[in-house]
Amino acid sequence: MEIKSFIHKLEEEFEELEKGTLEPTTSFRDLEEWSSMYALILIALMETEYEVAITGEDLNQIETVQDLFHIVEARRKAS
Amino acid sequence: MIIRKYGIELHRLKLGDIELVRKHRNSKYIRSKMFFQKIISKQEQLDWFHSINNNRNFYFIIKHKEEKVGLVHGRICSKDEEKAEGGIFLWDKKAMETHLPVAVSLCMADLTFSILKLKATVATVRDDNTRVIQYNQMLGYEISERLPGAHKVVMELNAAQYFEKTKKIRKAMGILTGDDKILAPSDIELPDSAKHWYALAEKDPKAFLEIF
Repeated sequence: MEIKSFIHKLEEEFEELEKGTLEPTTSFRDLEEWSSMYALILIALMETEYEVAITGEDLNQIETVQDLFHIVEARRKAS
Repeated sequence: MIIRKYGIELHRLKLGDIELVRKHRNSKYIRSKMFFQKIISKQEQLDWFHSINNNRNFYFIIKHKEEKVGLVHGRICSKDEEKAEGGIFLWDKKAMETHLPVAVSLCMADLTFSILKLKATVATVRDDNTRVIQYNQMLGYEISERLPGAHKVVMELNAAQYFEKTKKIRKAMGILTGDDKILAPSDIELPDSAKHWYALAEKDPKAFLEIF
């Protein structure tokens, strides 16, 4: 899995987000559009697309796109 | 009346809570998000409570892990059009980062559409509050009216849009809380005097609304 395609998936899912906004170092909470709703959509997307369960605890610790990517990648390898 | 769902509790607002609400409502941060930004006095708060403590208004204190973190309300604004309106404010900023706002929104919209069987719900938002406008759109709301002079947008949500748009969100709620079901009467604790409401709601939602 590449981070580029991962970002592409995220941007497809966040319809309201302008394409090209997300970079690996983008902090989710710094996005003007960010809300708890986006956090929940992330959880659903990770489950359906990558079969990875993201918890509320994970969300508290995740800052950037690459933080999320690394968690997903690690859990996929472990499973 | 207590709603227990998605790891939160919504307790019908009581007289004993109105000073807590006033304190937070008067904070600079919360006032900046409101249309009515004046500082509210103790007497004004009491008068307000007496005006909303009835069966047309549903004001709830939001509790999470025994902490009171905010206030949410729904009001039946038109019996004929079967419309409600609502709003939410969380004074606990940490709670804003969690699933709480969405859990509260789902509870109130479920109450509106699934229990009260109303046709639509309306939200009026400051036109500079893009985050809330977008949040509402993710619940399925659409902008129905812009009032530029008053710096407001009116947003409306119907049951079909709501249930379609929130499928993914409800799934995520299930992953987080173990509960992805729509609010049911069994999630609502009513005082004994009001338990006949359930029977009415089951038989005839319109008759149920006549109570209000």
